[in-house]
Amino acid sequence: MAKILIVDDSNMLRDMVKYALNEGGYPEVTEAVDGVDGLAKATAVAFDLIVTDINMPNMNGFDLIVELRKLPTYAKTPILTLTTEKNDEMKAKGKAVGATGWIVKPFVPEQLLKAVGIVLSR
Amino acid sequence: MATFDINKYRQMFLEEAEDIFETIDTILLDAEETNDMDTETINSLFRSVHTLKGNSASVELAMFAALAHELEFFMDRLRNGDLTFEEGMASLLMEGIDTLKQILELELSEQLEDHFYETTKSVLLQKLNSFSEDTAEIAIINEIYGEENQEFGLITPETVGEDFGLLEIHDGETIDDIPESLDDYFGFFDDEPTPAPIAIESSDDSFGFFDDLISTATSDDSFGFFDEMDLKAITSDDTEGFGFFTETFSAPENKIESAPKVVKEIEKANKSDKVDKVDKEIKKTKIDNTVSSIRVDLSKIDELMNNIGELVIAHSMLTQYTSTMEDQKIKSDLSERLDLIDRHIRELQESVMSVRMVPMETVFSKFPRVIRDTAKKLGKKIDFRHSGESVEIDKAMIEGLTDPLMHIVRNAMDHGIESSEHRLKIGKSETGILMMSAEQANGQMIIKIQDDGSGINVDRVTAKAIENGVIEEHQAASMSKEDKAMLIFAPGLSTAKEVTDISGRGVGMDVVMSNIKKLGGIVKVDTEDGFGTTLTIALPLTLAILDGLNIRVGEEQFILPLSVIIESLNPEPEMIKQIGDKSSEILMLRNEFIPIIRLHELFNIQLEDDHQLTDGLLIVVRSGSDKVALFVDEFMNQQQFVIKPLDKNFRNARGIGGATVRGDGTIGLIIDTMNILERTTY
Repeated sequence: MAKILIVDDSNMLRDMVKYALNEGGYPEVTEAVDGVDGLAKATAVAFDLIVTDINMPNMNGFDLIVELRKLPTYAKTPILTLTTEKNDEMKAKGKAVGATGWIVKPFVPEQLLKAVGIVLSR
Repeated sequence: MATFDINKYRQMFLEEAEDIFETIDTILLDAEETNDMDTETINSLFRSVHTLKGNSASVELAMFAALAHELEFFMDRLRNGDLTFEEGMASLLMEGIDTLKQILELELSEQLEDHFYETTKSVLLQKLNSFSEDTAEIAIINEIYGEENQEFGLITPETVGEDFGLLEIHDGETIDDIPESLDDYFGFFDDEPTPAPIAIESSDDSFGFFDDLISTATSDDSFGFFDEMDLKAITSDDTEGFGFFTETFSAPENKIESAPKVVKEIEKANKSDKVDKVDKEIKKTKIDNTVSSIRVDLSKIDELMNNIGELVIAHSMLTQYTSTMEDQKIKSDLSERLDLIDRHIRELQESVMSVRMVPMETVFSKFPRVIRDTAKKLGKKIDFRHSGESVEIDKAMIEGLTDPLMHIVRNAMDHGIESSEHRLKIGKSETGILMMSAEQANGQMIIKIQDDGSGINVDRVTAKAIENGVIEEHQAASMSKEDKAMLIFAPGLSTAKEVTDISGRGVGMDVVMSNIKKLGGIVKVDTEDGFGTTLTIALPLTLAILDGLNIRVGEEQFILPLSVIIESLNPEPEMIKQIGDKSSEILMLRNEFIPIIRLHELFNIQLEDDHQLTDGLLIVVRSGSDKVALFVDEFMNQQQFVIKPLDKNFRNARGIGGATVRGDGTIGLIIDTMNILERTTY
């Protein structure tokens, strides 16, 4: 069963992602409140997928991904970013830090599960 | 397919939005004061508004999200140096935030009309644009971003996708015509199906939409993969760091097998000697240092508290049962173990209580903005100071406390602190000081609101009270200065010569008092002519548990909160005076007259005739600065009680404020002295 980590400073968004994942058949979901928390939790447990917000206090999503990619465990783990903007700047930055893909907020559970399904089946 | 419970998430959004608004207010107030905004602050501001935008769109608050977007855009320009912070900007942004709050309220209650929204928005935009000459540019960008999707409320994938496509790919050009340097931006808009998605599709028919997704990327790009952007143009030698994804696409089936293996191998390597102790230590401290928190609905904590209450009751039932046992050996063994359980229950209770506690900072932080606005409106200069931010208070009390405090503060600013000119004339500093402090003392929360204004004109308050029939002239004669000052809390009293829209006609100070009393608190006023006023509010630390005294009245027992008891005594006959038609009795205690209430009469408890006050006890209790002596038969024991609210039907019962379950399973009624006093005085 895939272990998924959600990193978002918004309680509401974490809950939404978690709900969608749970409903979509991924019961093993862990939550982290920012990049620092996310990195700590990712170091403690090897997750199969990480879904992270970009704009967060303490450590933002991009910095988190950079840190995660330095760890052998997460060299190739899929990492999806949750983003409000999907402009070129975001895409360039996302690619540069080594993110796998992006999901645009607001999303519906179906979209999220579609994206998650693709990366987890690779 | 699962759908989101919008109402639930809107509630969560509101809670978060409130916090974010507070953060923004703090930043902007600070910026206005220092007339500066550093990069970190601008980033934080941008992030806050960005979160508001993204999250509101997620809960289908389209108008709010679109307006937040405008503000975000402005802050983005500040962030990237397009605009520089200048005077008036903070004030304007505060105005913008206020507009946001207003729109939020209207949109939530479904009262937001398009016309009103459009007008509000354009007024705000005009003001925002006044800081920039490049209005044309803004208009263009607004057009691109500002399109709202009826369904989700934000930038539609379609419009944005098309807009970006049109911006960069000109007629006749294909993806291959785009110079290398722009590959990043266009890899995504690849018209040709790539081998990989097809491979995946063929391996699983239920995912037929992959084809659509990739082949016509612009039709649904609500999510995407960064490596798709590279599929076409990036060659294998310049994809360091992306090799994995390219490989995945070329041979997905193999990778599915091998990727987890790779991870496992790396994990193995990690666990081997290669990772030295130091590394492990670092990892460990990293985790330990992380303060992670979750938000929990207060009702869940209440439920937990309730369960502990039940546990307390079950425990006392068992203790009671033990006392009836005859075998002394078993009895003492059992008692010993019960004591242990008792200790654990108390610890549990304390832990849960600590979860309910939040720092006073939460309350204080609501004030700077209000004070700034009010001061501006009044044309006064006011310096707001506060202390005791870290003192903790029961979260359940905050809601009940904020409004009264707000009112007191507004009142102090309006009627207490003088205008700058007047202050200078009488030799005070131009800026008035408003202090708010919190501390814990004697198991109580003490909150003080202090101003260095003109003080309460006690004579005028008294005259007004007499004029309005609040008190009689002869009563006034025997009142102390403090009692007279307390008259500001009487209903319908205003001494302000002019009615202002800040604190109105004094309507409200009585509401302040009753709100604080509802929280089990008391208020004291100290005022000195020309030197200011201090309001002291004493509150119990929690609303969930009460230290109480069991009292007996006839055959009935009641619980009296310990916090209201001043003293108790066996009255001597000469201390009791009868007044009027001899229906009321007064206790004369050290030159003070205190009305006596016979609880038997109040609660209609039958007693043998000729029950003398000297046969029982008088307990002097207070509510605010009012006192009353309650006549009871006997003190029983002192104990902690878990408060349970009364059913709606019983809330009007005179003198009873709540209930609890006793050790023997019976219901105990808790006496509400405020309620008794309210019907006795004035």
